Parts: sequence; C-alpha cells; structure tokens
Amino acid sequence: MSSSDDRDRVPAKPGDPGDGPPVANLADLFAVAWRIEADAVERYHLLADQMETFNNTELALVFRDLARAEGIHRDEIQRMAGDIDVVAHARSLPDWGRGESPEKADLGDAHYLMTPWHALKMALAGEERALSYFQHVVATASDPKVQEMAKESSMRMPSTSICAIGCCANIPRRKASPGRTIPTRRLHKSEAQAWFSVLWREAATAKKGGCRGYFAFLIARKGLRERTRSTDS
Amino acid sequence: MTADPRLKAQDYKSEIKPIWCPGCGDYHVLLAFTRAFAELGLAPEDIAVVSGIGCSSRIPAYTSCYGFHGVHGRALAVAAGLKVARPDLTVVVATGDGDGHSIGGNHFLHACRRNLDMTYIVMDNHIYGMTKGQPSPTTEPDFDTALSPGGTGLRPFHPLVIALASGANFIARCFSGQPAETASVIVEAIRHPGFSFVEVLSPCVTFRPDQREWKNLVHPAPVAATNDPAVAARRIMTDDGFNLGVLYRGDRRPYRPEVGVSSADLSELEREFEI
Repeated sequence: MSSSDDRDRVPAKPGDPGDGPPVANLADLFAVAWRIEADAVERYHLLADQMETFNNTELALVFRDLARAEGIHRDEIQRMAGDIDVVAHARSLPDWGRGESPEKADLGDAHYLMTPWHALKMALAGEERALSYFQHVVATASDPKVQEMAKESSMRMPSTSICAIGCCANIPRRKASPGRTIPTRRLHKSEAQAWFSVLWREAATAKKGGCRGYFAFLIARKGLRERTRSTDS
Repeated sequence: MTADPRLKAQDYKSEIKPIWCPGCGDYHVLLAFTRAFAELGLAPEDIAVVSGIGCSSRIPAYTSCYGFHGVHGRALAVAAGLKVARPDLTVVVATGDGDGHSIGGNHFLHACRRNLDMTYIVMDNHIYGMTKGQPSPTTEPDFDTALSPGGTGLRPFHPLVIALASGANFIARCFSGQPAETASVIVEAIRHPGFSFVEVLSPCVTFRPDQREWKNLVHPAPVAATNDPAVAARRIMTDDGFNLGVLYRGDRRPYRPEVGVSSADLSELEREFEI
C-alpha cells in the first residue's frame, strides 16, 4: 500500500536482518533456526524439481545435495533443542516480514541453463544472509542464553560459507557446450585447426571459471594434438 | 466464513509441482497467493481461483483451493458467473497479459464496469511465453525478435488506465520479485469491496531475459492511493510503468444481483405462457 512513508522505503531484500520473527527466548531461537533450515530444504527441493523438469540432472543433484545438507542442519537443531517441540513452535511463528527466510535461495536467480557454480553461488548468498541474521540476534537479544546460542550459530556459518566458496572456485562457471565435443575420429589438419581455435576461446572462460575447467581444456588439447599427429603420419 | 489464524501459506499449496521455467516470476506470485490467503485466514474451500490459458493460468492447479482452468480469455466470464451464483466464495481470477488483455480484453472492460466483488490478478510479462515469445498487447513497440522483426510498432495496451476508465474499484501494481509486498496488496485487493485489479510485473526470464533488470527499476509509488479517478488517471498515465503499490482505491458500490431468491410464484410465471 502506498503511503507518505513510501519515499523512504527500500525494495525488500530476502532475509533482511531484523525482518525475522521476534526472538524472546531460547525456544524462539531454536524454532527460528529450525525454520530457516527447513525453509532452505523446501526451496532446494523446489529448485531441484525445476531442474529435473528441464532435464538438467547434474544441477538437480546439486540442489538435492544442498537440500540434504540443510536437512542435516535442521535435524541437528531439533536434537539440540531437546525437550522443546521446535516443529510446533516454528509453525506458530509469524512469517518473515518483508523478505523471505534468509537461507531460501532466490527463485528469481534461477535459470534452466545455470551450472553448479551458480547453484553454489546462490547457496553462499543464503549462508551470508543467515549469518547476518544471527549476528543481528546477537546484537539485539536481551537474554544472555539467546545471545550465546545465536553467537554459536553465527560461528558455524563461516565454515559453511568457506566450503561453498571453495566449491565455487573449483567448478567451471560455464557448461561445456555439447556441440563442441571433439569428434573421436581422425581429424584433417584444417579440422584440427578449427577445433584448436574453439578450444582456445573456451580456455579464456575456463581459466576464469576455475582450475577444473582449465584442466579439461588441457586434456582436450592433448587428445586433439595426438589425433592430429596420427592423421598427418 | 471465519478467519482461521492457524492456516499457513503451506496449507494452500497443492501436491502438484509447478512446471514454469526456473527463474519465472510466477513462482513468486504463487508464493504471494498462498501467503495472502494465509494472512486472510480463509479456508481453502472458501476460495475459488479461476484462470484462463497460458503459463500464469496454471496457478489454480498449484493451490489447494477450488480452481477452474478455463477457456482462453474467458476467465473473467466464468468467475463472474461463479460470484453471482456463490457470493459467499472469495473469487480470485489469475491470468496473463495475453489471455487477459488480448483474447479476454472485452471481458476485462465489462468486468470492471460490472464491479462484482472479486479480485483480478494479471501476471504481466509483456510476452506470450507459452507459445514461445510472440508479442502481447503490452509488448513494447520496438521489441525486435525473429517473431516480430523490427518490433510491432504498435502502442502498448495500458491495463491500469483501461481498468480505471472502465470502472474498476481498486487498482494496484506489484512486482513478483517482492512476494511479501505483493501478498499484502493481494490481501488488500481481496478485502476491498468491488472489482479489484492487480497488475503483477512477472518477468519471463526465458523469452525476455532483459526483464531480470526489472528488480532494479521498480520503486514504490511516491504518493498515497487516491479515490479520485481524475487524479489517479493523471498519475497512472504519466508514471514510468514501474510504480508499485495501490494506485486507486474507489468507493463504488459493488454489483450484487439477487439470484436464487425469487418472490414470483411459479404458477404466475406459467400464466404468462398460457395460450
């Protein structure tokens, strides 16, 4: 709804710190933490379903793996909560204010041609939002127990983020085009030269994307040289 | 019909998995729908989601409410009949810009004019996505593709102005990338008596990848909603198309025909046909 305050409004960002349900005690914190993970599981499964629909099975598996990882976190929170019925408590919590639950990947960033690199980038953004949420709880909570637990949760986030950054660095940003698969038959010199130029162009992208893509280029180039030599002889 | 605060957005989702393209704005609109219904606390069986044909019109299947995936462009006609027959139901109509403004353009005019108490949500992506990217009534004139070489050169349809001129009682614009705001506008649209029209800018990332930029272009309307049609017309006609929020909130009385309650005696009616 438009109002005079609208001039000061900024567009909603998913998981803005301070946007989440109020955390008054430890039960609230466990419930919110559980819900963040449960929401992430649901969102990753939705993205995996989308990728399966578009036959991007490689990425569907990545999203399923991410969902499984978040599911482990969710169950761990439930275990840590002990006697607190986090599932029921989480259900009674109000919805996230203007944005979405912090670890929910942004659906608008998805594309059927995306690669695992993009998926991990989305996951990393989610982890960072969750981190800033828990840091916000640490800064604003009045209950020392809540502060301590939120601090512990926020300390775990960097390790997950580091994993995601590491994975991003090792995965090529672009998928090798199926149309560029070098034929296995013997190649004429002119054909080989054409393939060299294609590979050379791809190398520039692969170098930017990470070492795995660059190694793939080196291996393909070696095979191409061998086949060209055998053709010439 | 009583509000149930225990209902959550998840309770309004069906078991059917959406098959929209990844990144499609309609996923967010579905989130906004379920969130709005939960906020209203309406039982799923008290809501009817009626749609036409197109990507966005798949939405009834993805909710647990009553749904009608209807004939191309005729969603409003079906919904009007439903609302007249069952005024107790909350009727929400969901379509796209092609279905709603081209094939169903005439129904749009008369639904606004009739002012039945229902909510019309158009997911506008300025393209016919389902049929692979032909220009729709809201497509820009210079949208140059293989299917429209050089662009259509036609002035785009302005749904909000047409809704206002035709008598819609509530007019708003939202962006799918802001599901929380969209949900709150949908809540307001449903609560507002009469015909409520909500245009949701919902990017088609497959045939209009340029629309990913919309998230950086949208902005809240700088002024509050008005109930003066003249003021609203000037604002809507001169805005940049990315002004979000409620733009017009009218006070026309909704049309509520008396149906199913006839004071006439059947024998009296028969007498008219006596020879």
